[in-house]
Amino acid sequence: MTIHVTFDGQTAFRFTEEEEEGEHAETDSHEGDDGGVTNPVLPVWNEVFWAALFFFALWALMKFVLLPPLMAVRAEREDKIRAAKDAADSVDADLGSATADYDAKISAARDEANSIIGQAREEADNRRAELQAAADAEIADLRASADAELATARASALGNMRGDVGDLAVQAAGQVIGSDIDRSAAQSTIDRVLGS
Amino acid sequence: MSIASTAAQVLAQTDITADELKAAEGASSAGFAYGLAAIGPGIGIGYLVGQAVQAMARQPESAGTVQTTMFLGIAFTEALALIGFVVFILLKFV
Amino acid sequence: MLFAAEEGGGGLAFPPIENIVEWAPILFEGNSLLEFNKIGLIHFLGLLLPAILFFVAGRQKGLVPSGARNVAEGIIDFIETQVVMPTMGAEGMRYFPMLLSFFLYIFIGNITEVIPFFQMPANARMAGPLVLALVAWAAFIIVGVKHNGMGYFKSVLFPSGVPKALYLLVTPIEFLSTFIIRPFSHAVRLFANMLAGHILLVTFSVLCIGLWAAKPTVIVEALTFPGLMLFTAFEIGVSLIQAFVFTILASVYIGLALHPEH
Repeated sequence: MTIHVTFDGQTAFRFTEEEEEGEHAETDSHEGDDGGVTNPVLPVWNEVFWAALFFFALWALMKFVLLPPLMAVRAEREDKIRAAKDAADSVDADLGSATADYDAKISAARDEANSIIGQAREEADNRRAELQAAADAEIADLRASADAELATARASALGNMRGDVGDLAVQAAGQVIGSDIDRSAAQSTIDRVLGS
Repeated sequence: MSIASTAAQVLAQTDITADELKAAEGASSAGFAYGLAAIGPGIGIGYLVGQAVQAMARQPESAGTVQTTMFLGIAFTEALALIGFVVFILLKFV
Repeated sequence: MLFAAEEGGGGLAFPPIENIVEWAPILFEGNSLLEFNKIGLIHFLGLLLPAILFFVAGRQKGLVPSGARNVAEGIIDFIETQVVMPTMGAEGMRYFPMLLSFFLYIFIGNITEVIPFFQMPANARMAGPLVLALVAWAAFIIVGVKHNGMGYFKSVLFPSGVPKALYLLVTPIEFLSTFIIRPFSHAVRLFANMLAGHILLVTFSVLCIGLWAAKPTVIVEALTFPGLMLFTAFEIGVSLIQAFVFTILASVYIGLALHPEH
């Protein structure tokens, strides 16, 4: 297919790959610096060459020369930071164990104190109970002896009183009836009145 | 080739040159090409960035990830408009 | 030269595209392979400046960084935490030199867009992005084959969990998208972004110069010049983001090749 539409000696449309001689010979876009219309989208080989050359040079430099020292420094710093962090962590762990120790000791001491107090209280309780028991016993003894004394005193008083009152009553009765009453004969009556 | 014959007729009747006609057709179709190519990506990028902003507002702690993903999405969406731009260059200047 | 005013009824003529992206040779003129122009010079700077920075940084002693090493380690940290770790994890540090080179080389090639006396992003020519995308392409294929053997191609072309009959459809699509479209879009993404930015800045500059020369319309300059400054700032951001995006995409592709089952 070759269709040329020409006007005023200029080619307007060209539906072919065929090269036109003369003023439109610029269709070869790879060497389009001779002032003609070029395709701005297609790459130009010399620029591709230089771009590739410089990029690969940069890549190689980065990989083998420029980056390794920086990355080494970064790694070293990271290691240092990690080491410092580890140290801080271990110190932290130490602190934790020390705190735990301290707490354990404190609680042990508290337990001991509590047990001592408990023992003391128990002892005191025992002692008090003993003392109380002794006091109670003494009181009971005293009361018993007092009771006994009282009983004997009362018995003796009652005996005395019986004798005296009997005599008095026999005398009084003898006076009333005007004759002596035999004391022993009246004894049963006296006993009945006094109700022993 | 009806276009070519029409163009030839037009050229025969008027005093504009073939180059001018080609440039005019190229310019107008280039404008249409880029204008049409810009619609879809325009809507797409607007929606994408809006959603990304919403995501960042809801979860500010993941803003970095969202931003990176947003740029990636924009790059993919934008490609169509850029191809339209290349078509524009080809139509207008070649 | 900017004006068609002499012939026509006035108006601004945009310079032809080859005027703004093609440069006269500096060295080896006429040699189609070795011809060295501004693009080559910018790429050379892309090699030289990072090399100087990292060389100076590497000579510094001691564990506490300062000056050049601060900058270098900042870049290293950025690539490590933002690019390598989220996409590949610690095992990706093996490919760190390549990714760092990508980032720096592309960034220098982009940032010259706004540097006076250069005013041209080297990546607005297809050559640089093409080379870098092909390197990334070769890298992920080599990594995939090295880590998974020929099973890499099997896992990419015949993904598990797909019914057998669908392979007729899935395999060609996967082949195209992974091995053809991926490097193509990888290169075109960078190239088209930088070319678009360059054309944008050229357009605004041409407007500014043209309106300055044409006195009656100079009032419009109040709009175009801030526009130029705004887009210059915008293009600085684009330079950085495109370098980052290219690097992170290369990293994602290598990560996918490392563990194709994901």
